[in-house]
Amino acid sequence: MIYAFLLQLLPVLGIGVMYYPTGTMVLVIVCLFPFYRFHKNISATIFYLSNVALCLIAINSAGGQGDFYFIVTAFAAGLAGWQLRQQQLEQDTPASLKQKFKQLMLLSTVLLLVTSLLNSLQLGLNMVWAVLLVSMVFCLFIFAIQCVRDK
Amino acid sequence: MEQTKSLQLLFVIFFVMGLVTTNVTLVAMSLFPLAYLLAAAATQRPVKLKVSRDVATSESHFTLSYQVENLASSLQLIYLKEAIPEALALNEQALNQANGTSVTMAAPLTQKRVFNHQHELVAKRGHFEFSDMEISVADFIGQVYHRENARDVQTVSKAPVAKHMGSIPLKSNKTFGFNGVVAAGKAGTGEAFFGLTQYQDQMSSRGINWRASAKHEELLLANEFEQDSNMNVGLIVDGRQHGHLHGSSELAKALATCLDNTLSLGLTMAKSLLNSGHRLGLLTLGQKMDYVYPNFGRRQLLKIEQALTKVEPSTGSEINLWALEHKPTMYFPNKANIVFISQLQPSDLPLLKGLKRAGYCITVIVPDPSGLVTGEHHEQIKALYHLARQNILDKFRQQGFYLINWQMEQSFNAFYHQKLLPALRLQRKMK
Repeated sequence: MIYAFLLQLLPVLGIGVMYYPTGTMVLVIVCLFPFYRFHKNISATIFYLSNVALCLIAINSAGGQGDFYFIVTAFAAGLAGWQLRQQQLEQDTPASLKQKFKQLMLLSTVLLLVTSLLNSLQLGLNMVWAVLLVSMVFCLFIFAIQCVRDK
Repeated sequence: MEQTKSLQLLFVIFFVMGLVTTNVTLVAMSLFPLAYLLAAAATQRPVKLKVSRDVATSESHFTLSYQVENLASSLQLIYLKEAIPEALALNEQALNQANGTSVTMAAPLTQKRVFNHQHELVAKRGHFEFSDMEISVADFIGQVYHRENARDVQTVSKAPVAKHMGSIPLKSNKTFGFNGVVAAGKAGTGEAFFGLTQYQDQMSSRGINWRASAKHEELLLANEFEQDSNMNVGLIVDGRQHGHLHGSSELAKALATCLDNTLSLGLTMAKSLLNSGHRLGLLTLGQKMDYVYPNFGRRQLLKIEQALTKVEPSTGSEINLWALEHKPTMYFPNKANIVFISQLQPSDLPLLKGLKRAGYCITVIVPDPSGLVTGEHHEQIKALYHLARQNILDKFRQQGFYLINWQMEQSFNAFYHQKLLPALRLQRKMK
């Protein structure tokens, strides 16, 4: 568990230190991660509170672009850690937890790369494409919920 | 489903906030929970499992063997969980076994493969029932669990250990001939000397009467004893645990051993009495009352064994013994001989008086578990226990009950020869 915790913490701390030498953000990220040790509800609360902090930073930063990589990375890692804690069952062995952790991190990393790629391309979308993209995302969301419910 | 709900909420919040503030970062953040949901939806597989469980009993262990067969597509991980019956779980925890309360297992399972899992529990006297198993199967990222309960009721039991004991010469007010034959005056296994007979190969060499044999040149004579008549015997085994000796785990262990030994003595005596041809009925007092109707033979011994296996120590609740005290003929035939194995309590005095009043011959065996206590202060505990017990037992003695004290650290054999036999012979001679 400590191994997983450190693995998650290191890259994010690195980015945090790179972007925010003042240390205020590092504090937020450190708050994000120790929830392995806590009860599920407490870890969820910490996660939600940290998200509020990230949201505030994202809104306050210039045009929402300045801290893009940092915030999204922190969020991805936080989400993976939180989900791992949420999905931990009593029967889980260290090996099965490691497997879950790998799967979650793989998914997060792939998504992070895709998002970063899209952002670095700086696609100048017109209004029509933007509306189309948003509605597509929303449809995907509804579809996913439907699939999960049906089974 | 709660996990997906939190993801849904997360997605909606970020997505809406991102659109309202036209912030790219927030919209990008909303994609993460969406991706989790999509991955869960795409990788969730239909589940079709066949689960079976076998319980095997060996001398020292109960072995639970699980078989999980996967009939549908291959699965990332399956989880199996089963709660162990409380009494066994307590035993496991007492033996410092980690995770004593349940059997848990997690394993990947490919299609049409059978997964075997074995779990060993330390065996304990008693009757235990296993019923519900919980099986969960997760999707690829463990987002949505499919949980199933499989019900497979199986019981496992371990009887108390029956030792060998010689014949028990009980005093009888009323005897009856077996199958119409008048038993009196027949040679057989018994106490009283009957006559001499020619020594046969299968006879015990201890029975040879050397003095009589010396008078004949080529004849070896052996003693023959008079066949004891058969009688009705009622065995009452008391598994109630009262206030004394409670406290540390050492004492709890001593109490558990005491109950097991008491039940073992009950079974051993039942075996010996039934072998002698008596009609035996059983009444057990514990968490609840159990009764075996008086009867003869090997099948009766099995019934008694089962009843003794199921005895659980009482946890506070009192059994209503009114019927036993006032209408004992409901349980045991008139003028039967009653063997009462119990750590007596003051409240048992009216019961014994009631039994005596009804015309039963009563033999009381009082187990003394103080010798089983080990540890730092065992001497003091023993002294205190005897002090407290002396007070209680004196009241019974004053009422004319003959109590046979059984030091539990003594072996059955030693108890039989040193305590039980002399006491019963004495009781027989007394009017």
